[in-house]
Amino acid sequence: MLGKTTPYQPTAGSNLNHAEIVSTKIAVSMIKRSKHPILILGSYGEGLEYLEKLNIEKIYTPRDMNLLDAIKKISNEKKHDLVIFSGITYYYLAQAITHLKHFSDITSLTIDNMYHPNAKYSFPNMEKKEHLEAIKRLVMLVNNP
Amino acid sequence: MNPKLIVLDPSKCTKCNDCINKCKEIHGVSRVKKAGDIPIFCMQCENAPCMNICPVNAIYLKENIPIVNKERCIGCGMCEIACPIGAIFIEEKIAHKCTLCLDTDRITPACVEACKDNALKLICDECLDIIKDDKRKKLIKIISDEWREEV
Repeated sequence: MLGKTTPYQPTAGSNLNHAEIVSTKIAVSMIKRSKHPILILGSYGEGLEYLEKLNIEKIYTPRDMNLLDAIKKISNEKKHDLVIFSGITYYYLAQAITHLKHFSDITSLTIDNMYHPNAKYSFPNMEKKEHLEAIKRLVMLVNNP
Repeated sequence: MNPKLIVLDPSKCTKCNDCINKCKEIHGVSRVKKAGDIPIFCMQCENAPCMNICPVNAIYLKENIPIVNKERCIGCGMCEIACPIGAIFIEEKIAHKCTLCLDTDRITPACVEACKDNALKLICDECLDIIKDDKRKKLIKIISDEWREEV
């Protein structure tokens, strides 16, 4: 059975410092506490239509820009303090958040239904139904304080 | 129980003092105290005795976490007496307690990020449910296997 913190690809978590699991409530409090959060949305996965309703700055990839360009832009600007990811192909995202982990002070949070060991904070492995409910709850709590 | 608090896994703690040093760096005074070699964190009580006993109402709630208002605090030390685990203390005539860094610009508590051994975790009631769920499933599996053997 896949555990809560087993990476989808075993090579993703290459060092000892793996991401910490967060629940929806803690993710919401992190988003509320951050001054300039940014959401990077891909084109895969479920719950993207709900995440589009979030009242925070967004970058759509690959529609607006390439993911790695977006990451470079964010780490060079140093304006944002929290970067949230969802709906991006697993191994692309693993690369992008590794860049953030090693070359910037920005906190990264992934809210996919899979655990990402390279992020600073990540949702655990979840069933699709469970994940969709978590996303709905997150959007509701962030938009309605 | 309060919705959010920091918990420590003593078996993972290597007594490196990173959390204490980081707290001192951020807040000026370390709000984390040591009992023996292991750090003790505020339980963020739901009905906080320190807040109830304060004669000048210097402790207020922000996101259900008790925080000391430094301008109001008179340093009488009543909260120190009332606290069941000694997580609030008087230093430089002001009460200090862990606020999960809610009074700073940080997104998450500094000590949790500073801990290299992953001994510190910021958890909430939902996280506890996840942990309990796993244990519950394991128990159900053991019980059902035993039952099958008996049948």
